[in-house]
Amino acid sequence: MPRKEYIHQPLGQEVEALAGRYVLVKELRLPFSGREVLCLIGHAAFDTACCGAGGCGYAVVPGFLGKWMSGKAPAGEPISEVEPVADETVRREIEAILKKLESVHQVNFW
Amino acid sequence: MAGIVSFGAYLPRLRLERMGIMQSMGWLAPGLITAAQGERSLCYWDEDALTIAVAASRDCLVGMDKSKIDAVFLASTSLPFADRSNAGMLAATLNLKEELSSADFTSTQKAGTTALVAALDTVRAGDKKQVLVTASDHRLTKSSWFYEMWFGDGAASLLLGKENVIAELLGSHAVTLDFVPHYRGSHEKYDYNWEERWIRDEGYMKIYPQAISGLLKKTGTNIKDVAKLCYPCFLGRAHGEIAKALGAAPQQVAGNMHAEAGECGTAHPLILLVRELEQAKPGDKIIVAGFGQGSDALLFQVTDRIKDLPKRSGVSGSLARRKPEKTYTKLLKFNELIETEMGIRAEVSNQTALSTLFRDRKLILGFVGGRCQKCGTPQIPSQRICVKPGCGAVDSQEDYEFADQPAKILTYTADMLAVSVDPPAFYGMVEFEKGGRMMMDFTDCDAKAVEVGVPVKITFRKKYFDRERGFTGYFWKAVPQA
Amino acid sequence: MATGIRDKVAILGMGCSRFGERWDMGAEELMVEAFLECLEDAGIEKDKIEAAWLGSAMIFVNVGLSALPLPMALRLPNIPVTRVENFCATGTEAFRGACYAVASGAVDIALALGVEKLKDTGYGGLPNMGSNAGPSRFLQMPNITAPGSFAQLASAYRAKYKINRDDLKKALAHVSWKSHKNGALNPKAHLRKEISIEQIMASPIIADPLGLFDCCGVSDGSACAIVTTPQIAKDLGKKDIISVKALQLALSNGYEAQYNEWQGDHFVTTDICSGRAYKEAGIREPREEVSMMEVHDCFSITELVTMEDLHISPRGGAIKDVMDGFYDREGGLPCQVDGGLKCFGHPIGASGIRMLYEMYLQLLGRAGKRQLKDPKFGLTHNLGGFPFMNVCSIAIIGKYGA
Repeated sequence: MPRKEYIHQPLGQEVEALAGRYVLVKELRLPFSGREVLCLIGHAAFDTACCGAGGCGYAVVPGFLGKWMSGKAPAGEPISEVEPVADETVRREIEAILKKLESVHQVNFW
Repeated sequence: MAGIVSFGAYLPRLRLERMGIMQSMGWLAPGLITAAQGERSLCYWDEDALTIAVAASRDCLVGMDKSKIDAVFLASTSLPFADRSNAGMLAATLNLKEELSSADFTSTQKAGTTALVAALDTVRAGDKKQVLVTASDHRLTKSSWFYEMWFGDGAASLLLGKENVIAELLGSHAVTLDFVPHYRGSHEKYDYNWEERWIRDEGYMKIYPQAISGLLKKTGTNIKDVAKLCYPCFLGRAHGEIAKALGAAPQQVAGNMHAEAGECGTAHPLILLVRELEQAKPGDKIIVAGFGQGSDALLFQVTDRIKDLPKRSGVSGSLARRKPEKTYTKLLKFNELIETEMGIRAEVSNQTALSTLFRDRKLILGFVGGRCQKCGTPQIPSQRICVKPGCGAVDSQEDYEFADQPAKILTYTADMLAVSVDPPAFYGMVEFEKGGRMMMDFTDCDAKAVEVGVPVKITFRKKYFDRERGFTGYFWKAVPQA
Repeated sequence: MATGIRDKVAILGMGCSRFGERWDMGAEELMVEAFLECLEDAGIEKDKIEAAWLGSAMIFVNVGLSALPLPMALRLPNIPVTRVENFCATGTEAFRGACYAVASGAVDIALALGVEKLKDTGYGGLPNMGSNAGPSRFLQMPNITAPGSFAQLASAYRAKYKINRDDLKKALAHVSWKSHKNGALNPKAHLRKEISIEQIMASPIIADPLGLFDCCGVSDGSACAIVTTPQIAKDLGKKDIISVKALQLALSNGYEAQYNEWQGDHFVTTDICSGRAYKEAGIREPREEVSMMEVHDCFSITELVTMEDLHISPRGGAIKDVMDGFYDREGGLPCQVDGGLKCFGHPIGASGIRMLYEMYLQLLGRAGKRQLKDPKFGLTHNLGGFPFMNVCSIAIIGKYGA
């Protein structure tokens, strides 16, 4: 699986969309079969979407961690190397761990 | 020869572990621990006494000719309407003919067996060929209470007639006594219960033996010749002692299903009977009795025809279709026993136009669409002009039942925004194999089982509740089959 | 033999309110805000307006029944006014009414105004219609939300063209990224912020695979147009005349919802509607001839699939065009130049005319930092309802004689 860059997003800062907003509350380096998986935990409110209202805790998984904060983006944010989780079984295992560990409703892999 | 022609049953798939109640409420009511074993069946948020009655009745009618049914009796103490024939709604969901009689049997826990006696009397009178008797209950109790543990939700259904009888009625006997172990005033939500020791000693231990020995005497039957005795009693020890008092051995007594489901009100004697019929041999004699303000007891003898009855889900199928649930607060929320904030959006007016409901009754209650007599295309809802491009025939639709048609998921979604009692709300386009498609709610979903192409079964459920006016609206939903 | 609307009607003036959570204004004040701009642009006195059409959708939280709120707010001189509603095509329907009145010769000058005041419900999102949805529909239809039904379009599209989930997600992110970039340049937009691909990817899912930035939101707003004949526009001293080239609508008839054929992967109505619109406008090669578009981007997937139903991208080819930047402001056919529904929100009655407003500004070279080079034809598109049952409207405007 090709590696790609993850540009670290600031934690604790609200990001606004027209349909709602979210805030990333923490970054997790989850130990998983001898490696570390980078996971972002966020809280979201969908309170201004065109057709309803909701919200949830959620996780985004950029991938297995390669080099931690090894570079810098043009705007100054640190960059880590990640290897996206492609395998469906591994995704399900990570999802199960995260759902136990954190109060998250959904786990998204990109 | 009058008797049982067919049977069916339905228990909701959710089984709440009683320890879950204890774990949530034991701090308040530590005594609950004595009853906190096993699990009880629990209606999902969109199930009630009517929907589970429909499910049991559909199970009972598998392989039967619906046109022979001349009456429908529905027994329950937890029906959605106090003044609107619930049995009439049941008949409509089954798309039975309009020329039939219907009645609700209610106000006592023995209503199930009372309806059964009445149905058999009706059949024997000869005017009506077949009578469908369905008993169902979805009783509410206050929180943190033994009855919350003892009760379960469930339904059973029996088709009675004179032809193709699988269990012949040998006799029945009834006792009526104003013995009141509990009561529920006309406008009350919960039962008011008297002391269990009194219920046991003066009620169960005396009234059951009175009714059953009366039956044995009337039919000239020796208790030793009875294969199974089916009677509800949620007090575990008393359940066994009743049989002992009658001179029956422990193995002659059908279990009360406390461990697997709990006691399902008026349906319970019928559920126990169905469970026994599922494993009965020709020649077996079975007694079923109900307990309320008195008792009804009936004696049946199984015939050879039981072997020809097409396979149905029954009690064993329902028990196998089980989803364990640990979260006690789901019972509270599903039964509207706690007030949760659902958002201003949920305050929408849900008034039902009764004139529309009547006009569309075949669609709404019966899930009946149409099939174009010109091009043969099934379609739902049925409209005056055929939907098939290029056909467009006018007034060409004949009634076409969709409820039992094989169908699968064409598209679906898990929606986090829709107001739902159990988010996310699943819904999608359901496609019927022989033609027709419809955007439908899904229910009883396991997120992982929902996928394009997965087969679905169609089930009758609550769609909405109009709190202001006390009206429950129903429609059909799709259940993805894992 | 019908000859269509092409070049029979000219836009004399347009106006558009600022969109947003307009706690300061009711529907009446929003109408006035758009109207004053429009009237000044048209350069006429309001007593020259002979007929008007009002578009508003959510009657129970909005202007209510009848067309009265429009003449009451604008103090129009006892002229005929009609209120129309047709889901998300409502604004375009009002415009169509006014254009047809002029084209028929019934009146010389007509007004079309769309407005929606949604932020008086006490909660986010459109009002839940309950039994107001129509008695029979209420008894049968699931409580469908728009994200839920459009998410199904995404899964069907993916299945049909065997597209990997991550590739579709990236394309959807690009669709949204591009619109926010454009919207940041628009002083009238509700949300004026660029957003990075990383921020989009770190957002949660609302209805799989649609994430937070794939969905539009709720705003208040109003937009309007005054239309007349090209000759009268000339007589009034207008030099650059913008005329209507096509006005088309296509509505579902139950084929998608009830007949087992459509696979859920595209919009049957848009496919048909766009063909008719191009014919009416005399456009043969839309990919080459259309200069810019404002489409109904209620969800990123809607915009993506619509590119194919408009016959701009080939079937199954929208992802490639999106990723190539073909629809970016610097691309071959800029789409959502003003920021689209993603940045304006969707005050239903106003949206169609708001889209036309951007096309109008662009054609006149008045779009400021968003200005495109020498556009000829601008296309607007609305899609109301659900993929399986909807109302589609398309309008094309351009330079008179083009």
